[in-house]
Amino acid sequence: MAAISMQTVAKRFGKTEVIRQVNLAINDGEFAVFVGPSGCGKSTLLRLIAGLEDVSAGSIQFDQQDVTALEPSERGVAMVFQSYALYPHMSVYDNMAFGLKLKKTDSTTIQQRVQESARILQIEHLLQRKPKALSGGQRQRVAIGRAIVRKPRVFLFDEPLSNLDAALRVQMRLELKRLHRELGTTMIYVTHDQVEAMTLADRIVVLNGGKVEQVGTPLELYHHPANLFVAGFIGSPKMNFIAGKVVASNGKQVQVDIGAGNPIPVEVGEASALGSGAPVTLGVRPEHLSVTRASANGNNEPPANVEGTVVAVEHLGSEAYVHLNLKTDAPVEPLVFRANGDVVWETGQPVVLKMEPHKCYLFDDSGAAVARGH
Amino acid sequence: MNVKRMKKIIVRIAFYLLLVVIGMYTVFPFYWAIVSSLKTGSALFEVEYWISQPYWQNYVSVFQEQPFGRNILNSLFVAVSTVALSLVLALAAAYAIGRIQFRGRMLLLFVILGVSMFPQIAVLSGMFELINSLGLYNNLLALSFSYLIFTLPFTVWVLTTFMRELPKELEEAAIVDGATPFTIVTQVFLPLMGPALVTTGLLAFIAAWNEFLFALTFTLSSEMRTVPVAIALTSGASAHELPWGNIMAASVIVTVPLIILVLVFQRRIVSGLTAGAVKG
Repeated sequence: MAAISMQTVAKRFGKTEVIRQVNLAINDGEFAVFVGPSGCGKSTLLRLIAGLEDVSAGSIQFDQQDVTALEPSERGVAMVFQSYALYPHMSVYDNMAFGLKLKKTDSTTIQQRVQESARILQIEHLLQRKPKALSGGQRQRVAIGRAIVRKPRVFLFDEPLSNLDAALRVQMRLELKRLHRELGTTMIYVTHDQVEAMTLADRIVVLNGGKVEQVGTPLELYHHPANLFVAGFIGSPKMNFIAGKVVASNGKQVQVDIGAGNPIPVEVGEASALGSGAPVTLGVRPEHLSVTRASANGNNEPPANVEGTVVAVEHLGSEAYVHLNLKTDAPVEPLVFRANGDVVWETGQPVVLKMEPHKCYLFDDSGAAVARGH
Repeated sequence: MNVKRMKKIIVRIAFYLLLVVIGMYTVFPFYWAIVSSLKTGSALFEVEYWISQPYWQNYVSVFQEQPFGRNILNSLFVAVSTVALSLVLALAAAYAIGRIQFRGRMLLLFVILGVSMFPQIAVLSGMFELINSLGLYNNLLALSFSYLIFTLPFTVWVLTTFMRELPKELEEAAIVDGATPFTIVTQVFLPLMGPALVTTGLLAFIAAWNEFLFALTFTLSSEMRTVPVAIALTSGASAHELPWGNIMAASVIVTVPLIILVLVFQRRIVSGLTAGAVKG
């Protein structure tokens, strides 16, 4: 077990800077998930921690011990790869025992540890088989078993579930969570799948373009994204963004004109920085929009309504995602909202949506989030 | 419909006829050697496609009139040591060229390939000087070393290609497990490269077994000769007689081991030649 800290870590491949100035601390025993779009450097960051790549600048510590110059085996890390990377010519037992044998561990200990890990992962009956005689899920367990037997200080997972089918993925996700509870070891997990990140992580590290965008618990990221990128990346389907202008602000509430009739009120923590006329981006999640019967310009309607026509519908059975063309002065991206799956939607149908002031997000000109009111 | 069927049958027959012709063309010389080796001295000059009375004396006299047993052992030693040397060297080279990033990697690979482009005769005099100065003249080791000239280029190429196709993650898993490059090559890669090793090893064996020019140049006494040289230099009772019977018997004897080897490793050769085509 170990706490990991990284100071101003950078990695360059030739002239391309893949990791820029990353400062990061992962607590002892924490389940941290690196998430980001492909090419954001999350795998590279993991490989830097593993020691499979050397840092171009900066340093990495495990529990105050500087491991920047150490080999992977000296760091005491274990890694699970996306392709499992089992040794095809060895039995499951030998696969798991290989690392211990190289460390010249005595055979009784090896046997004991392999048996124990196999029991935890429920693969005791597979020990004599070759990897090619195993299913995808079983191979993944063996790969995890190979990591466990070495009792590493840190577990590293590089997209371990992306080769499995959806049902197995959910099951393995739960098992990884259970494993983390049982072992209590620090785990770092890389994925591009934000559902995996949300369900597994104690803390999520969102990466983009080689930089850390935000670090926080899954709910922190959902409720208080630091910027447009995180807001758009966390949550599915992604948050709707509408460009607008501040027309008035009174401390806790900002009126935003998005060119769709009445300005939309947004609750914020502190609005003093936003003067009248400041360009902003209004964000609202599809699950926070609801259909209302009142028209956008009726008499005693709440002013927060927007009106549009249906352009596309995605039915998922229990729910449906409806794409709406807003009635605005300038053309904007279609707005997506979540609707009841039982309702029939037709293209061209007019819809009025309610935007609740405390469910909206606001981002300033630079893309940084304006602190929310709650 | 009948015409269609007739057409189909005719095409079939033509196809098999073609197969027979090709088969005859490739097998006939060897068949002729076998037939000739079972004939007496005078019967050799009569055209006869089938032997009614096999005459085995040629096979005995080959061993009596010259140290042919010794020659076979020589060939075996040279071929086996050449194969062993070239596989060990090629495996190490393949790991370096296939798995490690360094400047001039492709250049090196093409230089290795370039070596095999020179005709043997072009390097012969230089090689002779080299062998002489090493004190290896009329020594079998001279052959083992000089044969590396033509075995190494293709063993290195084939093994490099094969090693490149092994997943990188496998190597990284071994690194995380604490394996040194030596352990990775010997314990992780080597067992996976069986088919490639068998294929290239066999090709190297055949090349070394059949090599003539170096073997003729670097050996002197008949005890040091390898099989191809021994066969070529077989002489009869008088200078005017060429003992065809003995030569044919000897040729048949030395071809048999190759055929057996190929048959034994048949499956492995095929999987070696197609390796990498599908994910393993």
